[in-house]
Formats: sequence, C-alpha cells, structure tokens
Amino acid sequence: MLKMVIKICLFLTIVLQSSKSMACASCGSGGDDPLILYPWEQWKIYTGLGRTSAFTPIDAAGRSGRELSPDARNTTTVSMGKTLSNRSFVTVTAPYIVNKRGAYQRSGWGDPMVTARYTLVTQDISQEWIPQVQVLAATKAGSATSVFDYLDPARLDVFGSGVPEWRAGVDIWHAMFDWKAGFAQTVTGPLSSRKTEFGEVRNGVTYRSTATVGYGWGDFGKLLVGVNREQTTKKSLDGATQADSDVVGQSAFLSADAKIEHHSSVRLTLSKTAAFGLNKNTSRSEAVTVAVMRAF
Amino acid sequence: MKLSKAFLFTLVLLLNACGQNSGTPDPKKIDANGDQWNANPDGASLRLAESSKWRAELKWSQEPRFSDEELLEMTGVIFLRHADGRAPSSVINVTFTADMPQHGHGTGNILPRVEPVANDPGRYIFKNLFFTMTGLWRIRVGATLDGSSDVWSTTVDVQ
Repeated sequence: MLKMVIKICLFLTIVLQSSKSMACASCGSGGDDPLILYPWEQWKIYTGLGRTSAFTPIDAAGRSGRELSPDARNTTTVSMGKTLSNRSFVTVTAPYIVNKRGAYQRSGWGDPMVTARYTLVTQDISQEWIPQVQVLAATKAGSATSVFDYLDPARLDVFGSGVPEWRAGVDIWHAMFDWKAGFAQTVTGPLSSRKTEFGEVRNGVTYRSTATVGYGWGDFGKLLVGVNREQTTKKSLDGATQADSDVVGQSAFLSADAKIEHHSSVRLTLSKTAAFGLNKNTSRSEAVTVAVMRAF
Repeated sequence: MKLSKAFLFTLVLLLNACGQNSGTPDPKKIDANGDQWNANPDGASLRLAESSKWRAELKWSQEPRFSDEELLEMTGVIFLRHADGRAPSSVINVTFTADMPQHGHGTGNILPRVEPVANDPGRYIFKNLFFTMTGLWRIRVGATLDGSSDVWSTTVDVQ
C-alpha cells in the first residue's frame, strides 16, 4: 500500500513538473508559429488578436525612413494543433489581416503555415538540469498579395511575403525550476524565386535566434522576456547578388501566460521589431497580441 | 611705350573674353534635333547611360521625392538617340521600371507607363510612377532601337 502511494505521488509530481516545464523558447516571442502542444493534449486551438502599428522603414545604412503604409495592422491568427505521438505534434497556422490607414482598410488572408515539432530530449525530474530539445520543420505558402503585386499605393493589400518558404530549427527550453530559460535557432529560406517586371528576385536565407528568460508560478502561468536577432543574406536579381540587400533585425518581446481553467490559458505578448542595436533593410513596429488557447 | 602697354592690355582682355566663350565647355550640348543634353546632370535631369550605339537621357518633370501626406505622381521625359544625337528610325519594346534593389521589390502592380510623343521617334513621356517610400530606387529604361536592344539604369535617392 505504501509503495502504491509513493508511486502515485511520484507520478503526480512528474506530471505536475512536466506541465510547468513544457513550452518552447520561441513560443511567446510574437512570431508566426505560436502554438505548442503538451503530450497529453490531443487537439489544441489558438486564437490570437494582434495589433501592429508605428511602422517605420529602416534603410541599408540603418537610418529611419518614411513610407506609405498602414497606420495599423490587425491580425487574427488561428492555429490548430494535433498530437502525433508523445514526442511530436503538427500545427497549422493562418493569419487574417486587416490593414488600416485613416478611413480606409483592406483585409485578406495571409500565408498559411504548417509546422511539425519533434522532441528529441524530454525533461525528466531525475535529470533536472537537462533541457528539453525540440527540432522543428515548417513550410509556409506564398500565395497572399505581397510587395510584388500590390495595387494599393499604401500597400493596404499586402498580406503575405509573396514567396513560399521552408523553415527548420532547434528549440532548447529549460523549465524544471521556477526560473526558465531557452534558446531557439531557425533557418528560413525561399522555395522559389519571384518573377517581377524588373527581373527574377530570390530572397536570401534568414537566420533567426531567440533567447528567452522568465519566471513561472507553478501551473498558473509564467512571464517571459526575450530578444530575437534575424539576419537575412543578400537577395539576388536575375542571378546577380544585390549589394547591401542583406537584412538585420533585432527585436524584443514580453510574454505572459496565465491558466484560466484546466485546459485553457491566455497569453499577452508585447513586442517591438528593430528595437535595439543595428538594424538594416527592415521595418520598426510595435505589436500587442492577446491570445486564447484551448486543449481537447 | 604707354600705347604699346595699352594695346597689349586690350589684347589680353580680348583674348580672355574669347577664352571664356570657347575654353570652358558649355554644360548643355545641343544635338541635331535641338534637344539639350546635360553633360553634368543636375538634380532634375540625368543621363542614364551612353553605350557605343545609343544615348538615353531621363528628365524629371519635378524633383523625385516622397510625401507621406499625399500620393505624388512622378512624370518626365525619356530621350533615346543615336550616339551622334540622331533620332532612331524605329523604337519598339520600350519599358520603364522602378525598384528598390536593397529591398527586392518594385512598385507592385502599380506599373509606370511610357507613351510615345507623336512625330518624335525616341522621345517618350513616362507617368504613373509613385515612390511609396524613401530610399534608394533604381530606374531602368529598356528599348529596341533600330533592331538593337539595350537596358539603361540609374539610381535615385528619394527623400
């Protein structure tokens, strides 16, 4: 009887520890892949409402410029995930975007993305300093109207990147203690070039590093802060590399998760792109996102 | 003696005056069609390129600039000529594009238009060009002149 009680207590301890340890380094960073599933969750739905504003272009010399752009972009992100095994899951994410400028607005779907994650190393209470290690692979469509085919001079009808992409990465997350930390590294590249009236454009390869630290209050929630650094190699036009077309962007985020019931939680994310340091050929903006997640 | 000095002084003055007319290059050359070509492009007019066969020049109707308060349409004239200034006999496939080489995008589906000037082969009006942001823009002009195709380009820093 005593042995049975000890086993049950140990099992519960592992489960409860697991519930506050499972997450990922890049989940709360305000990126386009916000949903992760815990092994005991069969299905999960994420709905996020985000507002991005204060767009400012940054040129190749790092100087702020001016542009005709939306005053604000409201994004409704819907993501659905399915567990494949106790180590793997897949998610499908699609944004619906409303671009506003003064009294005018245009809306449309952005590029959908499919992501698969596999946990190589799971966290274990018996080895509490070993972090969780996940690998991920994703593909994103390039079907939405983009900077290559917009019709609105203020680009209110730009909803996507215009080029399909692949992505691969690794996500390391340690959350066995109240203090949590993680690091994620992804690589994103174009699946094709884009033909334009001025030639065939091929985007560079983007290397994105995310560092996150935070604190968790048991199973009730956590607060994370982090930074991203994105570096994209030079673009090419008709096979010729375009000088000074590489991109550097450094952003910061703050994310707070809270459990509202057994299978539901909410997340608030504040982020700012081109927030610090050297940035080039990118855009500065500020965003706030509120999201609800529900598991089944 | 005084007369000699006065004569020499006058001669020097006259020679100096002549030198000002012929010694310093005229910044504007007039070609066979009466068009002015800027040897030293100013801010409103620029020479795109001068290949061994053709010369192409672009003249803006206004200073190329950006405004975030109103949508500014940039217009101007393109001149396409033989190297010696003669107008071509036949010009086809004239193209005009604008893109930002450091950003990898152009003007989307808002494409600049090029229209020929009646009875003036090689002279075209361009319009419907909108600079939607500040920064470095590349202007490319392509054409087939008397059977020979070429593309000329230049950049403009729009502020």
